[in-house]
Amino acid sequence: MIAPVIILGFLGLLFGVGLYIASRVFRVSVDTRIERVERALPGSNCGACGLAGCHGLAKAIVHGSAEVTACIPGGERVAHLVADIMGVEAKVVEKKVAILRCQGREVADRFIYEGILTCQAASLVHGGPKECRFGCIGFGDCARACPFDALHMVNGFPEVDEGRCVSCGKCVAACPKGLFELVTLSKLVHVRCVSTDAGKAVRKVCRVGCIACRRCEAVCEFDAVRIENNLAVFDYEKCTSCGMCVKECPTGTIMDYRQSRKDLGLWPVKAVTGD
Amino acid sequence: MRSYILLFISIALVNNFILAKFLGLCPFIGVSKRRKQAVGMGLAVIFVMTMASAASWAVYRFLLAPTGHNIFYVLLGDGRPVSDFDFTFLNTIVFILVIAVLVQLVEMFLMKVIPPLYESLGIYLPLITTNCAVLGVALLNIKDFGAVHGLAESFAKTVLQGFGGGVGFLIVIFLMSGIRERLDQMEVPPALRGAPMAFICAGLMALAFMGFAGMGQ
Repeated sequence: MIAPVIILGFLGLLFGVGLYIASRVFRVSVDTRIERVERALPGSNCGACGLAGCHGLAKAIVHGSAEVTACIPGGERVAHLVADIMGVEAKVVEKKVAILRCQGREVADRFIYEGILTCQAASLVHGGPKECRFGCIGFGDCARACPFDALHMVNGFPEVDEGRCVSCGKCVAACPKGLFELVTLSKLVHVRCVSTDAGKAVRKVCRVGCIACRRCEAVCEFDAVRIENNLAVFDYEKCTSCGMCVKECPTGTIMDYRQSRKDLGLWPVKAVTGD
Repeated sequence: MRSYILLFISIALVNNFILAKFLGLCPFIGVSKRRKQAVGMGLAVIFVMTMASAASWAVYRFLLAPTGHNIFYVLLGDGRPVSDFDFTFLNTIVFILVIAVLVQLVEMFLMKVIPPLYESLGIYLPLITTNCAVLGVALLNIKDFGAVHGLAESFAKTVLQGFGGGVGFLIVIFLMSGIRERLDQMEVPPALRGAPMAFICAGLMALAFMGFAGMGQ
């Protein structure tokens, strides 16, 4: 009874002292700024910066391999905090939000899917149970992936809460159909369809899909819309968000976010000062 | 001499820890994505396995086993039978302790001396602590050579077995990382991309290594 206690106690003591001595011998001085930068970062370890968590980014910033503005979810506020610690000036960061490139809420099912209820699994079975091969499957992989509670399933269809979205890109990675895209907040008009099927085929399964009628292309004064592969595609460099195509679109595929962003107080985008 | 060479080949190839005994699969899959990392991990495992073999052998021989060298027997033994000093039931827990301490030591050492290797090993270095291959080799040593009478012979064989096990680990993880680097260039069906394909390759490699079965011991 007493022997194991003595043996383990003795070994524990021996190893403890040994490790203490070793930690003294092999001491490495760590830059204290790493810890301070890490504390300024949001700490959600979302990985939007492309590094392994907030600690990784803090290290990269201090070692100079990442910009002080590299934290996308943290945005302006964190960029300034980090810039203060690092003693440099933060450059302007333009806020982005995730846009869902589908609004096919009422697309019917092709077959009854009885597998695992995730979009990832469902999409492996003939591209998912929905009639539209391109559109939202609606099992909410994106909502589960969102670490900021900015994506909710409303009646089986995801809705982006733009007030909460910090454009970390988790939903972009989670959606097996690739329906999410990160677009700057100042762009207000978006095509909400990715179907490259011919107009007739789209019309058959979805009331709000792009039928490639080319009316947006004709009405755009800035040459910012093009029909490519039966789908309206925006050139955001040229688009001024004037909204002419929104009025012209017969299916309502092109959507204007102006009013909803006004309501949320996200638009007009406030001027960001660099210092 | 012949028995030592046979022992080395046997533990490195025939009874390979990963592909024949299926121990240490976590780092095998986790760190075999890049060749450089794989070699780093393999070298770390060789080092830890060799050290752990030596340390666990010493602890076993002088503290736990009921032999004439047991410290407790030597100090308190007078007249009592040696079998009273059998603490081998503590083997597992003591070996875990020894290995954990060793890994801590290696980690500190690498952080100070070879920071790039420390960075690239990342989370996998602490994971050697829970690498069952290391505990496996310590327990296997006791089973195989714990009862060998000569202290020198027992120690030499133990350390050789630990070293050979590490070398076997390095060989296999290096081969695997080469395969996986090639796999990255290939067009793998989406359902099999990543870990599933790696598992299939590991299975095929295990089949190939089964070809050594029956050679030596």
